[in-house]
Amino acid sequence: MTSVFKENPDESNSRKRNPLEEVRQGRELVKLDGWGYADSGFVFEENIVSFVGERYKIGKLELPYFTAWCTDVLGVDFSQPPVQRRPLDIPPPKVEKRCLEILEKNGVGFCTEDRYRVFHAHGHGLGDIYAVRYGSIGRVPDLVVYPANQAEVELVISLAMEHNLAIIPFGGGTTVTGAVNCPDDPRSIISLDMSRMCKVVEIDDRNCTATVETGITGKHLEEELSKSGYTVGHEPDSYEFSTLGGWLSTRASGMKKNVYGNIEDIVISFTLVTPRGVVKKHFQAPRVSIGPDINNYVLGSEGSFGVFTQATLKICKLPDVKKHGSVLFPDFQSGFYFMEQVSKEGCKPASIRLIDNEQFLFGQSLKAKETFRDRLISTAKKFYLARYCKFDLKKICLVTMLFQGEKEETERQEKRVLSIAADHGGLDTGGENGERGYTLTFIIAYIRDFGLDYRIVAESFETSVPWDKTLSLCANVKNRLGRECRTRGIRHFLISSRITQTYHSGAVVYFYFAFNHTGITEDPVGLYTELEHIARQEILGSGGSLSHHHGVGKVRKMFMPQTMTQPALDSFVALKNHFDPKNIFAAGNLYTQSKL
Amino acid sequence: METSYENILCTRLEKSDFAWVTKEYKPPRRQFINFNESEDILNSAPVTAVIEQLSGGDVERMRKLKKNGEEILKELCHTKQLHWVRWTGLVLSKLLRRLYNAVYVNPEGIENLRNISGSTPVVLLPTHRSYADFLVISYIMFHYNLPLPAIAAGMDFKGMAGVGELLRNCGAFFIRRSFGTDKLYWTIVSEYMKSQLIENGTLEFFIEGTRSRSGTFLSPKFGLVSVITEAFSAGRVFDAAFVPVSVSYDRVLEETLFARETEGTMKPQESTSGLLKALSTLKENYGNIFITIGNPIYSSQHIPRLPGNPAGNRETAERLAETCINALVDLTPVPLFSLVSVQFTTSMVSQASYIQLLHTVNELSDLVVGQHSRITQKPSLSTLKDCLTVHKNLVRVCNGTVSIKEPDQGESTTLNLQMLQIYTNQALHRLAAPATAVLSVLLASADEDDIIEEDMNPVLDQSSLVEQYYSALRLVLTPEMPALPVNFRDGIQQYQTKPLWTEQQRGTCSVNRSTVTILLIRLLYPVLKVYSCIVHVLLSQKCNTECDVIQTVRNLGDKYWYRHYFRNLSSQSNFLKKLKKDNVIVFDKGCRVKNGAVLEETLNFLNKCLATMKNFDCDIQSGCLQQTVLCHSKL
Repeated sequence: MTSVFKENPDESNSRKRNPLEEVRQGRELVKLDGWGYADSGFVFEENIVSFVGERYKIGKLELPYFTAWCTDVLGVDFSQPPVQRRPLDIPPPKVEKRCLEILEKNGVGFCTEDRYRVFHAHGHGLGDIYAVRYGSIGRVPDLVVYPANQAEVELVISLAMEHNLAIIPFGGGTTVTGAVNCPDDPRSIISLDMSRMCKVVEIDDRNCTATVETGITGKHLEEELSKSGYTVGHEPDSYEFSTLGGWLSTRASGMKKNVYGNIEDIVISFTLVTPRGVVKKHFQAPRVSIGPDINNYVLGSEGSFGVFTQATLKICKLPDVKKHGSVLFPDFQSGFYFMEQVSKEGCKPASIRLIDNEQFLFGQSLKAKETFRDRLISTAKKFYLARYCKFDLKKICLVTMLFQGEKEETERQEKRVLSIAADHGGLDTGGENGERGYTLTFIIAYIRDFGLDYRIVAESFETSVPWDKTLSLCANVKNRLGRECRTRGIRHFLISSRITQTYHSGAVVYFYFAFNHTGITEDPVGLYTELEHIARQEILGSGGSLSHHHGVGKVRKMFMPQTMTQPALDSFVALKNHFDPKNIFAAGNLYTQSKL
Repeated sequence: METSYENILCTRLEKSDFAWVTKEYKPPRRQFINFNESEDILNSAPVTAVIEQLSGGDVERMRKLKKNGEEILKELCHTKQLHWVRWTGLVLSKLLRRLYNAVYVNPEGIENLRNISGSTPVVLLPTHRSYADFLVISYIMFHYNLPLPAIAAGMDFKGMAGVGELLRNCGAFFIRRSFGTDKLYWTIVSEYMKSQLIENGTLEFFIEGTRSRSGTFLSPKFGLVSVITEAFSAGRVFDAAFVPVSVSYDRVLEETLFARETEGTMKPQESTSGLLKALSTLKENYGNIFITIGNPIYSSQHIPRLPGNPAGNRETAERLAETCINALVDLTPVPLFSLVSVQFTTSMVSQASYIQLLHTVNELSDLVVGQHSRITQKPSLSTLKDCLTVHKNLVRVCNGTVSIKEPDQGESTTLNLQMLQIYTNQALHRLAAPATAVLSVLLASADEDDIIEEDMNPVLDQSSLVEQYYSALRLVLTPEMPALPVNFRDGIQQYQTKPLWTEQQRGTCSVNRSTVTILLIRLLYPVLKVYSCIVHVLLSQKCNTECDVIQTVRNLGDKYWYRHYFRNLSSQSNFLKKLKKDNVIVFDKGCRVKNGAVLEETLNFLNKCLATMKNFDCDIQSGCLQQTVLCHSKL
């Protein structure tokens, strides 16, 4: 892949100025114009799609079935050349020399190189990647600052206060809500990159906590803790790249929340540096009754109040056993009732997910070419399913599960879950299928980027919804989007839903929506956004929430007035005005100005 | 808005009826999915909640209510089976061929419906003029390979041995005509309908609630509409498309029954033997059927579905129901014979020359077409002759003169006039707009004469007198004549192809005295007269119940030449409904006038209208019939 960035003429100069080699090296590992590691991804060569890179379990692999799937389902025409990339036109940085001098004098790392400014100008939503690759990126931060500790963060904030600059905190940049995109602001914009603050400061065995700096990525955090036999267990799909600071800012949720909880259950205390000063509790108690909890009204503030620098987290011993499982159901409805019962009986596997038929078939397509023997077996399996079990291959759905914990307990749990599954007509299909499902989770974003080159636009969106409205919500969103696509002449599209989490009172639904825009529009992202908004309105109308874990950011903030009453909304504005009266943290996410 | 039609009796490929009913029936693949969570109606959350509430926790009562619920459901549900539909279709095919020349359908509407029913749950809303309506609709659905609807029918058929079961097997389910405040009943009906909407994908009910005996549109019943909007608001379905379907008959099967009923003979109880007897006597020609399928009205475009808003808002359902009825009005073509009958029902002369009749019909037809509406057949010598033949039970053509036949011995003397009135009423919704306009201009120019011409606004100005009178009239007439344009200037003036009035210097304006304007005024006169009588009776406070009021007014009409109009009870109940809705009168313990001032005002206004009309056409009251003829000779 060729770089789309113009080389900065005084690059050698700036390199000399910055003590940031380690940050740069880390950044070289990841793509600048797409999701994930630079060495991993999908390519189309010699008439077949393959996955390259050794980092994932699916390994380096040719994918004949997936190639066919792309053509059949999404109408991809591989004979057409990929969409042409276009170099970006990046405005020169606009920042007062005085400010740079102050940073330099105090030894704070910064950089004004184009390629890093661009990297900090976007997240990983469809619109972001599309803009970076083929379009125009819009406003880019003028300066990227890499603080090494809390003192440096405070210094940057006071500099911003004094010289009237805007700050956007930046963690892993994996947002899909436009949260790190630059607002329309006349001031110079600083992207505050927290990646140098990534130390595990302390592990407290007695109290089962770890104190960690917020720039640490999920993967790094787990690696560090596992050295001492611990885990935090917070695993959002982006955990390879997303950071603790980002989790706190968006109220993130992890795949294994059934065992470890969501971020708000995991975090015990934190340090938030705001223009008004440092927000922090003076103690570290398991639970308190001293008024409205700061944790609750600051988590999820999406970088609007200040920046998280450190947090103390609950940690657990690494599990003895990890075991995957999967159950095949004749249709989505029976799989769903199974999920509901499992949740209500309180026997919670670490993770349990239901994927619909579309996604099941998609997952099956991501297999290596079958040998003759394999093909015999899989034909026999299909025959068994269709004839003996009377499953309709066009309707079957898969539940994938992950059990973990103490050996005996895990086994007991698995047995109970499988017996509930049998009551609902499910068929145990073993661990391998389950594991595939979870591997796919990490691959899917690479596929999205691959599709872009072949005129497929795709994105995921999620919601949480009470049990009684879950099924109708899934149907409503699929039906509405299907109708909207057909009326717009979109012939090749895919709408798939999956139940990814369950709670006592409801479930989390995740939608994938993709379509082929060949010959439909010159502005696929604009069309996609329009359709996604229609889908979101349908979700809200069907009783779903605005977001379960992606957050609101900029792309969904117009829906905020539909989510709660005006006095409730106004409280956000009041908090914002309290912590950041000069709007230094100017990302403009959520509902932080009374006029949207 | 030119609609093209095709005759399905001759366009179908299978020539024999038998080949046709046994053809492959393949409705379009449904592209929407639905998870029906309330297949088990009795154990669905809303029904369980009502049982809980009604029983007050008493176990014995709960058991009884459950049992009651089972019976309700048994009485309610349909048992659609395709082979029953086929065999009923065979019989129907034979009957249609015998009775009708043609069954016309607009293919464009069919294609439209095919697209919609693939992607959205559909609610068909047909007009209700005859018992044949829903059979005819299922018939064309089968013919065009469209999904067969589940049909909400009134309980009347259920009593007919065998017929009830037959209809059930063809997809009809039966709702009681009145169930008072039986909460359990309503909840079960509502859940059943929602479940049918989801499961079956196509539902059908009559928005007018019952067959319109008078031929006018009845004000919409929004109960069933609200069931659907509730399902939408609560997120049970992503959308529901209401599709208006107008079924228009050249000659209604039940015309004599309806006329007798209006004349005061009681409606006979439906029975199977009665039906068989009726079928055996049906040997005459009933002309054509015109079925026009309109554009869908999507719930999603008319109902805001915002979180935090209460689900199933009654007002939104009412508004949507009105939108639907207006769409039906606009969709329904005017039968040619309606224009013929206007000539007879607006005068006491019971005959007219053939040429004169054609002339009148042509003039009226221009008015209808001018509003972008259509007539079932273009008036010409031959179509007129055909249509008079179809109605030869009512009119006789002899030596170039057309005259009303005398009713048979033993029937009410005005029976045939009453039947003609049914047809006149079918044109009323289209002629109402020009008629109202003419009256507004009349009223305004009457005022002009009183005021000495100084600084007067031009009569046809936006805020002019005409506009004011028009909106006042529209307010009074709306329940009776839905879909009147909102204002004079944009809604009416521009559609008139024929000058009904002339603008004069200084912007004043006067109505041209012509056959058409006189007809229009005479058309409106009885309507307003009925209203004024109702208000008069209400103000006198002599009547206690709604029935009393209607009966008293009915008797008042006996002395007028247009007494047949006074017997049209739906007009009266429409007006009373409006007064109730505006909270002017209340019927609880006896009739109570809540807002006497408004009533007085209405009476004054109505009297003023009537006086103006009388001024224009002094024969209205006396009923001397020569006037129209005279006008003609002038032309």
